[in-house]
Amino acid sequence: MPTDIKGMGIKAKLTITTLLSITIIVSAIVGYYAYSMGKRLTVLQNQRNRFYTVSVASKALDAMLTDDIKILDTITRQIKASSKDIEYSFFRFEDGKIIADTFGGKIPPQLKGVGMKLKKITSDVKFPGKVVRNFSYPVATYGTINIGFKKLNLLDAIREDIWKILVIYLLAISFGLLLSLFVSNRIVRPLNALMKGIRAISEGNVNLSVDVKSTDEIGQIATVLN
Amino acid sequence: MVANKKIFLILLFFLLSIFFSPSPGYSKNLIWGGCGITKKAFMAELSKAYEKKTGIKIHLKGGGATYGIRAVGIGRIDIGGSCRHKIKGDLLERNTRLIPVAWDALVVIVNKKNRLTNITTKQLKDILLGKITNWKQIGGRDRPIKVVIRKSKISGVSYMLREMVFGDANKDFRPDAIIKKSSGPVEKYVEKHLDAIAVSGISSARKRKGLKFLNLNGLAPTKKNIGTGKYPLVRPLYLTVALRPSKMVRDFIKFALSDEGQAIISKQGTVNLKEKYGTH
Repeated sequence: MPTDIKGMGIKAKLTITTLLSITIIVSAIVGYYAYSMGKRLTVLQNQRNRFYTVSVASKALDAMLTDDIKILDTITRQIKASSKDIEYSFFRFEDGKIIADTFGGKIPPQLKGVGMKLKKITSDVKFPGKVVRNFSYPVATYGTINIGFKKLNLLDAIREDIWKILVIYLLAISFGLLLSLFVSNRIVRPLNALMKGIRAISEGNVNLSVDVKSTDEIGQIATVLN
Repeated sequence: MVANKKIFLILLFFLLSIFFSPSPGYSKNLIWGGCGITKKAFMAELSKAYEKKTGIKIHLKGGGATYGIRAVGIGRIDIGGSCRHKIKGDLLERNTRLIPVAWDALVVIVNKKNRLTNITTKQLKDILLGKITNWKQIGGRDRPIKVVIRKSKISGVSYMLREMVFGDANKDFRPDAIIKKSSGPVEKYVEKHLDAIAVSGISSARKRKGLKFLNLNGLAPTKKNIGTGKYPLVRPLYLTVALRPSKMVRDFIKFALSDEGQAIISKQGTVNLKEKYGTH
C-alpha cells in the first residue's frame, strides 16, 4: 500500500501558490510606491533647479549693472563650482553670442541655439553618454543665463531611499511566507487526520472516530465518516 | 429681472472703471538712479524744483555711475546720472544716451590737518602707482602715504581718473591701496586718517568738513578754473536716458537744460553748461 505521495503535496502547492500571489501583490504596491516617489522627487528637483537658475539670474543682473562685464566669467565659474550636479554654465547675449562660459571658450556643438528662446526655460541636451537638462533664464534684456544640470532619472532619484524600500519589501514577503505556511497548515492538518481515518477503515478498524472540528467541506466528510 | 439687470450693469461699470483707471501716483513719478556725485552736484535740488513746478516727484537712489548708465538702458529706472563717459564698445551700455548737463572736477583730497597745499600731476601719478610712498618725498612730514581708492575700475571717479591722468582706463594702481565700496566711504576714510590721500568729485567732497583739496599744478579747483578749463581734471556730469525716452523723461531733460534748470545747477556751486568756457 503506497503511503508516499509522488511529486508535491497539497501543503507545498498551497504554500507556493499563496506566497506567489502575495509576492505579486506586494511587488505591485512597492513598485508603484517607488515609482511615484521617484517621480515626485524628479519634479521637486526640477523645481529646485529652476528656482536656483532664477536666483542666479537676478544675482547676475545686479552684478552686470554695477560691474565690468568680465564679472560674468566669475559668476559662471561660481555656478559650476556650487554643485556636483551642475555640468556647465554659460551666458548667451541677446545677439546670440556666448560671452561667458565654463568650457574655456570651446562651446560644444550640442548647445547651438540653447538659451535663445526666452520663453523656453528647460531643454534636454544630448551629450555622448549622458543627457543634460539645460535651464535658461533671461537677465533683463541682456540675454540668458544657462545652467546644465545632470538629468535625474527615476533610479537616481530614489537611490537614497532604495534600502528602506528593499527592507519593507523583504519584510512584506517574509510575512507572506509565514501567512501562506499558516494557511496551508490549517487546510492540510484536518486532511491528514481524515486520510488517517480512511486508511484505518480500509484496514478494517471501524471503531475509530476522526477528530475533525471544522465545519467546512473536510469537516463534513469527517462527520459522514463518523 | 429688469432691476437685476440694472444692478448688474452698475456693478460692471464700477468694475471696469476700477480696472481701466490709471493708478494715481504711479504716473506722476519718475525714478532716478546712479552716480552719487551727480546727485549731490545738482540732482537733489533740481528734482525738488521740478516737483514744485510740475507736481512730478522724482525718486532718487544711488547705485554709482555704471548703474546710472546701464539700468536706464534696460528700463529699470527712468532717468540716470553718470559722472563718466560710456565705455566704448561695452555691450551693456549701448542702449543708453548720455546728455551732458553740468561740469565737475576731480579733486585730490587729504585730511584737513595735512599741511601740504599743492601737488603736481606727476606726483599724483607716482603716488597712485606706488613710486612715491612717503609724504616726505613731496614736502610733507615723514609718514607713509595711505592711498584710498574706489572698488571698481569702471566707477565714475576711477574710470575718469585713469583716463584723464594716465590715458588708460585699465591702469592698475598700487596693489596695497585701501579699497572702499563707493565715493562716500573713500571721503569718510580721508576725513578720519591724517596720512590718507584720495581723488573724488568736487561736488560731493565739498560738502565734507574734514577734507582739504590740494591745488593741482598750483591751480585750485575754483569755479573759474574749472570753467576756463585751466584746472586739469575736469569732467562732464551726465543725465542718462533710454534710446527712446518717454515724454515725461524728455520734459525733465528739457527742464534741466533750460535757463531755469541751469540756474539751479549753478546755485549749487556746480559749473553749469554756460559757465564752462567753450561749451554751450
